[in-house]
Order: sequence, then structure tokens, then C-alpha cells
Amino acid sequence: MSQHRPDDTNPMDPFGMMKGLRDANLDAWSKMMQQFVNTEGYAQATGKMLDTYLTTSAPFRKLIEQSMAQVLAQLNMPTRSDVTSLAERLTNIEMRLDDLDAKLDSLLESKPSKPEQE
Amino acid sequence: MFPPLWGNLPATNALLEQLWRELDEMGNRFDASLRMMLTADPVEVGQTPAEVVYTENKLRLLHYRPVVAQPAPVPLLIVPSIINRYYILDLMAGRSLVEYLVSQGLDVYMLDWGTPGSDDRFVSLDHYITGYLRRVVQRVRAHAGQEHIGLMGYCIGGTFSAIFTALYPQYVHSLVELAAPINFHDSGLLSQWASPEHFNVDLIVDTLGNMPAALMQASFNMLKPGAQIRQQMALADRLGDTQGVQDFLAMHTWVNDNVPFPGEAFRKYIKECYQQNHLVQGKLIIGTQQVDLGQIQCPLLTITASRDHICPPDSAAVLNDLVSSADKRVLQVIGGHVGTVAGHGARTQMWTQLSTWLREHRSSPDGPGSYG
Repeated sequence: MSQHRPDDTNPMDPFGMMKGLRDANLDAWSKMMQQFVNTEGYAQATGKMLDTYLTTSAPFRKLIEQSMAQVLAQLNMPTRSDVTSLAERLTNIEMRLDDLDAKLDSLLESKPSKPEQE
Repeated sequence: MFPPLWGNLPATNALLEQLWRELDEMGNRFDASLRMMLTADPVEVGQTPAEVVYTENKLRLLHYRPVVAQPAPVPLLIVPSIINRYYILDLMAGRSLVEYLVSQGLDVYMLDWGTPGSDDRFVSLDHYITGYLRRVVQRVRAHAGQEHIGLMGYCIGGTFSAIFTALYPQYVHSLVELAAPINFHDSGLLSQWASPEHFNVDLIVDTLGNMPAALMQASFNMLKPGAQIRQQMALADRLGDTQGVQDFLAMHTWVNDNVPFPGEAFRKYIKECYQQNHLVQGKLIIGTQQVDLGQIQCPLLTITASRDHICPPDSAAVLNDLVSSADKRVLQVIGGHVGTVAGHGARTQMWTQLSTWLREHRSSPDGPGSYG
């Protein structure tokens, strides 16, 4: 399909002019927003907003977690925190294995190769 | 030609002709969009033929099927960012950096980090580098039968690759850093937003576990306000261009396919890198070792993008001042963080120069820093 390029300077092309106007408005808005998000005030405000949300929602989340934990305990099922604490222990074991693995690698690499027997 | 209605008034005719053409195009666009909605296939991304040669937890190591009889002896391992999906480097046929490198005779491996779950919240930054990445490098060495490999890291993957090369220089033959932040106290907005005065990373990790993908996505969107609206409008303007729409949808799929950042890794990354900038100061400790970027002695190519708002050029280029490599180069290309690797102009702007450099530095498997 042929694409017609709008001419935003041609008064005989009202659609081109409309698109030009739209793009110019968007450019101006983007520039203004760019300047806004670049300010110290914006960084401070978003940081505060996030902190407030996380802090104020914490008691509700805790309440839900507690009631959920009670229900799951009655059903003899593990809670989310049981599973994540297991994940933590596994990660710690993995990290210790990583260390051992890396040490083994470096030991094997530093070991002089056996001279070949004739 | 539009038939003259009111005599031969040229102005009126031109206006009506324009109106007619615009309505015609509008009809075509509507028709094309309707056809696309009814018949379009789901967007297929990451299509370059590959086999999985190693898996661990959620990560996969992919080996791309060579298309030449004898690919370059030194394999190239690509390390993508951990917060985006790997397939931005293999977006779709004709728009894939991986496909291009394979076609140039390189032996390419890709690390797909996978999608972390809530069970991964304790995986640390150290674990990513001395655990996952180190084991993947060992697998590539074993699979390719080579002592040394080439590393190419993109974005955070580039930061990881630089740290890895500094810690284990004996495995790395040459290093390519693709829009990878090294100096985190830069002119970029992310640096400002992540400062300790504004960003309480402990509260986020302690409350949410992993850093949610949606929260990161929202921050990235605010780096360039208006960009999304502009993209939607551009899409509406070219709905009749099937290939263009497919390209847009592929990119759109990737942009919205973010993954969470594992909590403990995120905590250390933000605190040690963004807030204290320990990497460039040589104070970052990974595992039990201090990361000294001066330990990097292999050939190094640092690629920066002139309009990169996520990793400003200076933030990446500083690596070349810190390494001990004799053979090092900074290549600045015109474009943004993503456009540089997967944009329309990527092939002519970046891929060809990257491929030339890689081929020059992949011909001899003799050892780190030695090349033919």
C-alpha cells in the first residue's frame, strides 16, 4: 500500500496540518514532562510515594499473612514464609557449593599436569 | 484525479483531492488492521535455531546451530541483562544480532537467565557471577572444547561480564561491552532516582521480596515520557504496512516481557553500584574477592549509544580507562539503548563493525589476549 506523507506546511492538506499540530503538541508535552521528571522534586516525591505505599500497606499485608498462616496451619500445609525460608537455606547451600566448586576449579587448574610416560 | 466539482477552482479541487486521498488511506488502514486482527500469526521471537546445552534453576544455555562448516574456533558467549528477556538480541528473522553473527561464521552461545520466582529472592549478585555465570562459562569451554571464550555482555549483563572477566581473566579471550553501565554516578536519570536520599531499597526488598517487573517498567517509561504515546501514534499511521506492524509487535512483546530482579541481588546492585559506585572505585566485593577492573587484560570493545538514557555513553566508556588491556576500543553508535542492538539501523550502524571486530579477535584460540 502506498503511504502518503502528510505535508504539515501545505494549507491545502488539512490532515497534514492536523498531524503536524498533534506532533508539535506531543513534542512540547514530552519536553515539559522531561524537564519535570529531571527535577529533584520529582525524584523526592516518587521516592516518598513509594515509601508511604509500602509502609502503610504493611499492616494490612501482615494481617492477611497471619490469617492465611492460621488457615494453612489448620490444613497442615506450609505457608509462603515456610517455602521462602527453605529457599533461603537452599540458596545458602548453593553459594557454599559455588565457593567449593570455584576452589576446586582453581586447584585443578594450578595443579601441574602429569608428565607423559614414554 | 478527483473530478472537478465546483468549476475549476484549483484550491477547492486540491483540498477535496487531499480529503479523498486521506479518506482512502484511512479506509485502507482500517481494512489492513481488520485483516491483521483476523489473520495475524502470534509474534514469533527468538527464532534462530539453537539447542539447549545446559540448564540450572531457571537459566538455560543455548548454542546456536552454526551455518558454516568451520565456525571461528573461539566461541562467543552472550550475556544479556537479567531484567529483560534475552531475545532482544534475537528478535525476529532479519532483525536478529545473533542470526547475523552466526551467519558471519561465529560460534555463538546465549545465556537465557529465565524468569526468577519468589523462591529466588535470596539469590545474590555474587551468586549470579561466581555461581551461574562461572558455571555457564565452564560449560561453554567444555562444549566448544576450548580453553578460552569470548564474552559479550549487554546492559547489566555487560556489567556482570566485566566483573567476571576481572575475577577470572584466565577464561576470557576477548570482551565486548554493549551499553553496559560501569560508572553509576553519571548524568542519567536512573542514577538520580536511585540515590539513597530518594530510594529506600531495603524497604522495597524487605517488603516485596523481588523487585517487581512492573515497578521497573514504570520507572523506565518515565525516563522518556511521551515515547509510548508517540509509538502508538506511529503504529496507527502505518497500520497498512504489514512488515512494519510485525516489527512493532515484536518489539512491543519484548518491551512488555520484563522479569523481576531477585531481591538480594537487587539490594546489592543498587547499594554497591548505583548508590556507592564501588565498581569503578575497585571496592566492590564479589564472593570473597575485590573486583579490580585493572585485572582485565584481554582485547576489549566497548560499544556505547549516543542517545542511551539508561546507560549514558560516559558511564560505559569509562571501562576503557580502568582496564590494563593493550588492545581496547570505544565504538560510539547513533541510537538508543535498545535501537542500537535491535533497531532498523542496527545492522549498518553496529552489527557490521561488531562482527568485523569479533572475527579479527576470534581467529586464534591461543589464550587470553593473544589473537591472530
